Amino acid sequence: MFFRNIKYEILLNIRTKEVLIWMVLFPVLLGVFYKFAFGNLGRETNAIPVAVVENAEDKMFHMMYSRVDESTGGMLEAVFCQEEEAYEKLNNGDVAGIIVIDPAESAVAMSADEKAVMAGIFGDEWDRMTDYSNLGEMLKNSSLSGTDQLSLLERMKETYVGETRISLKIRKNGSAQSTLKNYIESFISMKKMARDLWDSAGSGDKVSAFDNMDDLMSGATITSVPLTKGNTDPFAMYMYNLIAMVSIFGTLAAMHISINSQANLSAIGMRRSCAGTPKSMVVLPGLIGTCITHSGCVMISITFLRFILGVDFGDKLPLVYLTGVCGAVMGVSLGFFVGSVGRLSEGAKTGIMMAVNMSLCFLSGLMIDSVRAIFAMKMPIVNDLNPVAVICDALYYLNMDADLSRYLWKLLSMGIFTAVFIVLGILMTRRQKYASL
Amino acid sequence: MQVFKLFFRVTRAKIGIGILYTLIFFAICFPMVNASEQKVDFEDTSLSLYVRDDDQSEASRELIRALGEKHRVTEEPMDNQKLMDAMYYSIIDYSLVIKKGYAENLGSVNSETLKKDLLDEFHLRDSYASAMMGVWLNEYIRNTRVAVAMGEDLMTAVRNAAERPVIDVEIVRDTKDEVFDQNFTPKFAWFFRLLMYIMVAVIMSTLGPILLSLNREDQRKRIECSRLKVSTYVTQIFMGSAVLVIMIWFIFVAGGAALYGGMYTGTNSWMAVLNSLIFALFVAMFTIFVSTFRPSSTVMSMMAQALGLGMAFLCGGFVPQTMLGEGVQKVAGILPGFWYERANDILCRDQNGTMGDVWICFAVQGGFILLFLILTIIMSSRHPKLKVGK
Repeated sequence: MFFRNIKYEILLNIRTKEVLIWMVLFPVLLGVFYKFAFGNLGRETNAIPVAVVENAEDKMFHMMYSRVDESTGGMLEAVFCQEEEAYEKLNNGDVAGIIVIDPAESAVAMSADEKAVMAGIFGDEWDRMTDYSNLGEMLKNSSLSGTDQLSLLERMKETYVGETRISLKIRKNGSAQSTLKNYIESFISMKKMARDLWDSAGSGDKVSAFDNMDDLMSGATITSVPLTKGNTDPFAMYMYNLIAMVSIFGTLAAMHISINSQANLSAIGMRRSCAGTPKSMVVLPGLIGTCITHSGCVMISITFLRFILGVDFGDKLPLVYLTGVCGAVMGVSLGFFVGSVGRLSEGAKTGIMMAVNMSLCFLSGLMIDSVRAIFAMKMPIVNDLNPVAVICDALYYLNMDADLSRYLWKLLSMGIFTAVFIVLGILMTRRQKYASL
Repeated sequence: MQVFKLFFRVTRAKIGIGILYTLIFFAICFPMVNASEQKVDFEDTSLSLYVRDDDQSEASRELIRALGEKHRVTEEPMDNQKLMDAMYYSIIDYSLVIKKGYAENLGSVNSETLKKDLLDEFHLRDSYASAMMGVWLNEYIRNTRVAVAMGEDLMTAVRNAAERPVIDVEIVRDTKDEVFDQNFTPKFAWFFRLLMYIMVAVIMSTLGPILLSLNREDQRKRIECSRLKVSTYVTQIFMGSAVLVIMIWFIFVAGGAALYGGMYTGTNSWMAVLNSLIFALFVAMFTIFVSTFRPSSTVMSMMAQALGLGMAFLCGGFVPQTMLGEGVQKVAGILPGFWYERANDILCRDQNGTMGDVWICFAVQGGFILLFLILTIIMSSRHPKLKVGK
């Protein structure tokens, strides 16, 4: 009879289409929403789009820009344009800011004659040079006096690292804007440094001062030490929450077990109370059957997320399924407990449980992931006592940690929660007596 | 007014879940809105840094001091797991290790020492924080090395290395910008942003069961065989629904005012209030429409969550719309929640737009109300159960 009751419980659950849709279709839909809505989160390293208005030409800006571009994989995505177009882009949100380069007050424009002299000695590309190692040779070949050579080099310095006034226009605060400001400050500082180096060099070393500029641009080498081999995408946390939510929805699937075994709550409960079958033969198969069907729903959700949406859960996929199953059992036990408390109808209890479930999911970061961080930082006990957060933590540790110690603790927590809910549920439903049925 | 009275008699029995949702919402909203940041003028982003000093030299202490001038530095020892958690949850934005021999290698500038690594960073994922710190540290080391190369002693060089030029940062506003109003800040906009989900959940969970009770077969049959006209019945149901929804909306708006710190001020705040009223009416209309199909309470509950969560995720109820991809925004445009959130985002300046755009958002939501009103009337007139005499 025990196994037959399990079979009937499974059939009953499968035939309750509303619950099945709720447990399978809803998470699938939500997973798709997540994928579309938050798929771009955490991809912060995209180049910062910026408009550059050059009211004065700044050679080093171009040099520096291409250098940052190479070393950081494209930190800036600069569009050189006119002021009007730049403001339009800023107002449309196409760029994070506008870099305006104005001439310094002391700047003196180079005459056409001077430009012709420069081109005659250093070649037509004299104002677009990236290799300064031949400067000395070029000057030697010219028939200029030492003073004239120095004067030419001075003009060369003004061309490449001459002072300009740089300002930043933004529309709002943010990390991108702060990074942009840092970038410009660093650039101005580097240019000043190049000028200082030039000024401090003796008249015979001016040529090599240009050569040193390249070395100046290399700063600190920072070695990157990865903290984990797991998936560090913050988007994954939303998926952990989704699995946790499906698991905890076991409450909705399991409430009928205790309600249908109590005579004061349902007609089936009345019939069962009159029957000679022991309550354990009704409640336990009910719990086992619901655990089986709900675990199946959770496993379908995980399979969909992993293989259809391509979510990376790390390299321990069987343990992800195990976590989902343990979460489902915990959800079912919670539903059994809630169903046995109070005399409210199943509809009212479903509504209350839905509100409570969604609140637990919210606290675990289902809607806004920073909520979880706030609790982790200020009140970690909330995450420890929230069944949804416990499931999330287990999945997170499974993905990020090299060993399983923290994961196993969370699994143990789920076991304790399950045992407590089932014991409390049984205590509430056993040995009830009714004056009349 | 019998139906109207009956409506509120049923409401009394069904209001519990609505109250529960409301209480939970306010319990969550108060700390969240207060915790969010509010900046009007430009402020440089201050990061949370973890620094491990393996060198323990004067120069390394000077680097930590320089970092601490702008950022929050913690040196409390952490194992890798704790550090990983802190970085994953963005409690720590950047972690740095000052390697042994830092001062020695920094103080002697030659081709050998220039190649040596002075610093390590614990890396979790690429971010603006790591890019920003990379730029700053590069500049710091570069400045120090150049100063040392120019003859300064190491300690003077590191003390001066953090000095940076001050650049002019200006927050610009469009001269034609009619929306600019500092009274409705992005901080407070969080309240109205989250309100979309909660209004769907509360209104559908409260109004839905009431309408389902009134549409129950036996209940309807009794009403249909009475002398009451169908039009009178429908009008009173609409009136009851409108009054209930406006009451619910008012509670939220009043709670919002408490969160705001008094009566709302400025045009934008009041426009946001109006926006929430229009959206509340849409949810009410949608609930009435769904109830004409007489689904079970579980299905109604399911629809409330699916619609609420779905719209919130796709339309920017949980994150600003600017963070959503272009494709998502195009798809979301067919949902009224998108226009509700767009109006909010424009009003709090999270996205660009004019007052004209805000009115367009209101008009689109109004269009959805009208659409569901027409659909409800069509459904009611075609529903066999609603026909008098059947």
